[in-house]
Parts: sequence; C-alpha cells; structure tokens
Amino acid sequence: MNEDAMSMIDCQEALSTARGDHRDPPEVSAHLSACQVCRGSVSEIRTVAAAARAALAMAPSPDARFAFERARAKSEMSPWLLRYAFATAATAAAIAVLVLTKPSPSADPAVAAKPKPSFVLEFPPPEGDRFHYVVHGPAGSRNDVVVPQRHYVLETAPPNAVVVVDTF
Amino acid sequence: MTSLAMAIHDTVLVAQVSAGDELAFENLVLRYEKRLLRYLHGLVRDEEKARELVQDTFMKLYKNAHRYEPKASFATWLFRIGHNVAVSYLRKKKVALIFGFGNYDAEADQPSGDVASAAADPLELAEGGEIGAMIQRELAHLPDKLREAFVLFDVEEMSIKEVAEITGSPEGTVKARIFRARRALRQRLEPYVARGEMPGGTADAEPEVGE
Repeated sequence: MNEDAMSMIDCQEALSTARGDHRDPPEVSAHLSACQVCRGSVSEIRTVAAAARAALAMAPSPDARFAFERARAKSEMSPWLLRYAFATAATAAAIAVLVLTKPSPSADPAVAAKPKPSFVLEFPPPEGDRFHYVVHGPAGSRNDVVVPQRHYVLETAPPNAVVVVDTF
Repeated sequence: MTSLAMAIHDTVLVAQVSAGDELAFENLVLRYEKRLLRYLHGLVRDEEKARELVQDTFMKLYKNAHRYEPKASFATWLFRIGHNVAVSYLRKKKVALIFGFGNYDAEADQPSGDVASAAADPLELAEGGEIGAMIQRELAHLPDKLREAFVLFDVEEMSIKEVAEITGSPEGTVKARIFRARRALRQRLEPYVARGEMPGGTADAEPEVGE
C-alpha cells in the first residue's frame, strides 16, 4: 500500500471522482488499492451506472436526414420571422415618431396657428387707399384682388401653390 | 478512431455544417444523437420530451455552428447546448406548475417503464424492463442537478472538467454533486446490487485500478 498516496485524498474525494479504471489519477488508484470500502462502493457505482446507461438508452431517430430537414426548416423560419419583426418594429417606430412629433394645438399656439401665405406692399398704394393685387396661381391661373389693407392674406391659394404677386 | 482523430473530425464537420453541408450535419447527428438522447432522457425523465429537446439542440447546432471555437471539445459544446435547452424547458415546466397553467401532464413526469434501445435483445429487454424502471424511479428521486452530474460523469463518462463546463458549475461543486448522487443511488439500490439483480455487472466485480 502506498501510504503517501493514500494520505493525499480521503474517501469522499475518492468517491467523488473514482471510476475504478485506468482513467483514475494515481492518488485515486492508490486510495482504492488501500481502501476496501471505497473499492466496494466504486464497484457498486459502476454496476448502477451500467444499469442506468441501459435504462436511459433510447433508439435514435430512424433517419438523420429528417433531423437536418427539421433544423433547416426551423432555421429558415427564423430569418423570416426576423424580417417580419423588423418590418413591424419599423412601422411601429414610424407611427410613434409621427405621433410624438405632431404638435399639440394647445401645446404651442404659435405653431398651431400656422400663418397662411401673405404679401405685404412696401410702397404707398397707387389707387388711393386701395390695394390692387394680381395673384398668379399654379398652372397659369390669375386672380385680381382689390383690398383696403396693405397686408393681404391669401385665403384661396392651394397649400403648395407657387404664387407670384403683381402689385399696382 | 482515436479521440484526437474524432475531435479533429468533429471540428471539420462543424465547419462544414456552418457552410450548409447536409451530409456533415447528418454525420454529427448520427454520432451524437444517441448520447444526447440518453443524457436528456436522464435529465427530463420523459422520452418524447427528450426527443424534442434533442431536435432543438441539433437545430441550435445548425444555426450556431459558425460560433463553435475548437478550444473546447465539440462534445462538450454540444452537451452544453443540450443542457441549456433542457434547463430552459425544466424552468418553464416549473413555472407552469407553480402557476397552474399550460398542458403539463403530471403522469408524464413519472418514470416510464419503456426502457432500452430498439436494438436490445428482446429477452434482455423483458428481463431488464423492471430493473430499468426501478433505476429510472431512483434517478427521479434525485434533485435535477445531482441527477445531471451522475448522468454526465458516470453514464456518459465525461470528465469532471467537461461536466463543469457543460453545467456551468465549478469543479468542486460538480464533485460534491457526484458524491451525493452516487451515495443516494447506492443506498437505494444496494439490495438489488447485492443480489446481483443489476444488469451490467455485480457487486463482486473488482474495479480496474489505474496504472
């Protein structure tokens, strides 16, 4: 018996790692050689492990190809789901941005009361106190306007019209 | 094939799988499916669920093959994936039980008497059915972590280091779990072992002592 090796580990250490074969480290082998109780215990463990190996054994799938097909099908679904999730998230984000950035009328009256297109004459009116405007709208449209005030608010122009104003 | 050659071959196969090689994937499935089934069967104690989890494990292998780094053995890496898949399932099952939802079948949690592979000898299967059911019942009495340590170390014959890597636990913890699992199983199964009723050997057999 190797007393030095035996003293290196105790029974608990031996029974935590011993397999009872050539894979055991020297100190474990030495302990088993010296300790009959541990030797018997390891023998029982080997028997139980062999029985457990048989009890837990299951027949593998009949065809490994199916496993590949399943794996591929599932993995191909994931990028699709990813794209779907991305598109959904992008849409939701866009809606959120629109909702969050839309000014509330009560929040900022200056922004809410967006000024309509207006034109100001910077010289005295040629016809007394009347102001004569000719508003050229889009697609060659023309509108003559005579108003008493210098500051004329263009009520009827389309939102995106490019308007040229001639004054008289 | 030596373990070194096997490891190299595994690494090559994984690289081929990451490039979409169907044959390489089949090769890995053939090589590891049986062991994974046994491990996950021991862990979740439900044959059908074990099969599902093995499929999920291989699916994750297929999707993440490019992430494999050969610094760890492929078997350890694959079993680690299997461990994570099983732990996730067991966690969900526990939550379902706690909150009383889901279609968890309590009967399915009981050890099934259907044991041994299809390739087993019918006579041996008939004789081993009772013993197998008893072994599974005794395994089921162990806490999940002890059972997993026993299955990986004693049934799958992995090293302490590998078991620690797979379970994500320190080696000292793994040793303690193995010790406790072995002690509990020995205590429960001692009468059967003493009478020589266990398949695969008797208590009289002397273990091989290392060189």
